[in-house]
Amino acid sequence: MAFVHPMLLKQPDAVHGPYRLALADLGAARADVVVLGADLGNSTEVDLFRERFPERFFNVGAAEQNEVAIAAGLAFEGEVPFVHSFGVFLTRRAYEQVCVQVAMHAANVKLIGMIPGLTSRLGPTHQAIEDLSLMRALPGMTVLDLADATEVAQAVRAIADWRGPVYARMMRREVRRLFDPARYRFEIARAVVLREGDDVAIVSCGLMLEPAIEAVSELLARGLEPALVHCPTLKPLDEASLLAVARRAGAVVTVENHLVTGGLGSAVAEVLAEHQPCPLERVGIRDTFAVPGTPEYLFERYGLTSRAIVEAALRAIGRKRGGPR
Amino acid sequence: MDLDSLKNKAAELRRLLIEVAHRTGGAYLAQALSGIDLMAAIHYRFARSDPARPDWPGRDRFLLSPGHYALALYVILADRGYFDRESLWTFKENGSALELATHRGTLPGVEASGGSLGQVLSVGVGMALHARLRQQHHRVFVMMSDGEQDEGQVWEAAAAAAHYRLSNLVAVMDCNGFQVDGPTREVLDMEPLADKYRAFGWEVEECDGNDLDAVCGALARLCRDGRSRPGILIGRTVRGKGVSFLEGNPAFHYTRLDPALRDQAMNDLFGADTDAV
Repeated sequence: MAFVHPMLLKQPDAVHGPYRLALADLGAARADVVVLGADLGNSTEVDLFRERFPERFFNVGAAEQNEVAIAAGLAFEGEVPFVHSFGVFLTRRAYEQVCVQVAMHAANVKLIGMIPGLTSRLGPTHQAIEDLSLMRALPGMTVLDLADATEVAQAVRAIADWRGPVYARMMRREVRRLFDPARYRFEIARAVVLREGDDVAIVSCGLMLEPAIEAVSELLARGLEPALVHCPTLKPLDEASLLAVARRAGAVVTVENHLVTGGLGSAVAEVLAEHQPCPLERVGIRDTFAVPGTPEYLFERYGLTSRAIVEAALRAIGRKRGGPR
Repeated sequence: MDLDSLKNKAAELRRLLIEVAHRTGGAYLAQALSGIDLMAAIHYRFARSDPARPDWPGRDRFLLSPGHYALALYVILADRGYFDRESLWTFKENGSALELATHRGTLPGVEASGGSLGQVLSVGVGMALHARLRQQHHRVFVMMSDGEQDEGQVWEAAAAAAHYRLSNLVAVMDCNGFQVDGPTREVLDMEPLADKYRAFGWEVEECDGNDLDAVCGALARLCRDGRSRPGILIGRTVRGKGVSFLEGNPAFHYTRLDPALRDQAMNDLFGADTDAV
């Protein structure tokens, strides 16, 4: 029994470079948007903006600490800088600059981290598996993990309109499209309840939406009633939506392309523990760095699969019913 | 402000530094005394600004990178009327806006957070890029220390400033030869600093940073129109300038002045006749 929802395309497809186009469109719509790159122009899809608005594009070379602090200086003067690199470099390498020059002043800087989680083939130096955790730890930082091409296309404008610092991780190049652009509306700080259910609530962010949808279909086939919450904003978390779904389901599974510590699993655990304690299972990478490999291989190896989500859901349901873990 | 008045002003500011350090239980006084001439020259003679309109878009920006020099900036801002002079006596009290290190947004005229070293030249590059992009004609002054030249980010920023030919960016380095662990040449020798900045593509001036005639001459050259590169004045200064027991004494990274030391400092600077401010 396949799960269907009016917001979701019946036949998911792929879009090439949704960010590239959305950023160029944003440049046309907003004269106060400036773009910084760190020697990764095509790799972070800033090339079309650079072609169309060369005077508002600044390449600072492979120097992310400088890139972030320059962006703060631009933001202090009223510009809206979009800062680009791979997620690892913006968060690991430039962490103090993000903290001191951006977060500490709520500077209107938008940090765009490409290649989320286990989607880089270059191994652990390039795999952003704790970026959400690092960014979520900073006071006032808004943290997004985008799911598909529709969400990327819509989020760019939302990020520009949002007041204050944002870290957004997303995919580039061939990006799966799951949401129907005519029916889905992305909003920062809003989770989307795609299905309600009495047995277990699956909460996913970023690329894990697709395996989460598959897991929901599998659970439905087993005669269970799973809820599905798409949660692209980790901070500020849409607590009201999450708690309403968790209250009805009585058990929760979080799913993320990230360590289970510090990201979505931790964020949901915190809000559940404070307001609505119930069994929680977290699907994600477990306290390890990953090896190099293709995303398909790595997602399988580190348990980022629909099968792992189904197993976690069954464990959570079992715990709710008082059974053994 | 003419040169003679500036020299008198610098002396008055030194008196104020010592009095605040004395009355409020301590400060990074030796650093403030080494850098005060460079900062005074910029604020009273070169930077266009209006204390009544601290957010005036046309003002020249002044960014302090080593936040530990906070007190030197505070006495200048208070003297110029950015805030009430009496608030100087609340320096580093709990709840006071006059924090031990500068943080952007805490006080009018404080435009950078510099407590963590080596970051603010980059912020200045961002501000200078903005000014050029939006055809604004103000300058961005960035005050650095020699100790923070150890930080790699400084050189990332130096490269970017030269690459973008930011002639509206003027840096000043208080080069007093000391950092926390001792003389810079012993901790990490970054000399020759002037050659390094020249090699990075900057226009470099170097002079005695406590000699206001030399400092103003050098700054005038760096601020003239028609330049195509960022400029830096490397001011060779004396840590604790003017106070015998502070000059060149690495024991005083942070300085507490009891009444006897306060009197001695005033005596060193002004002779026996030392009225409190």
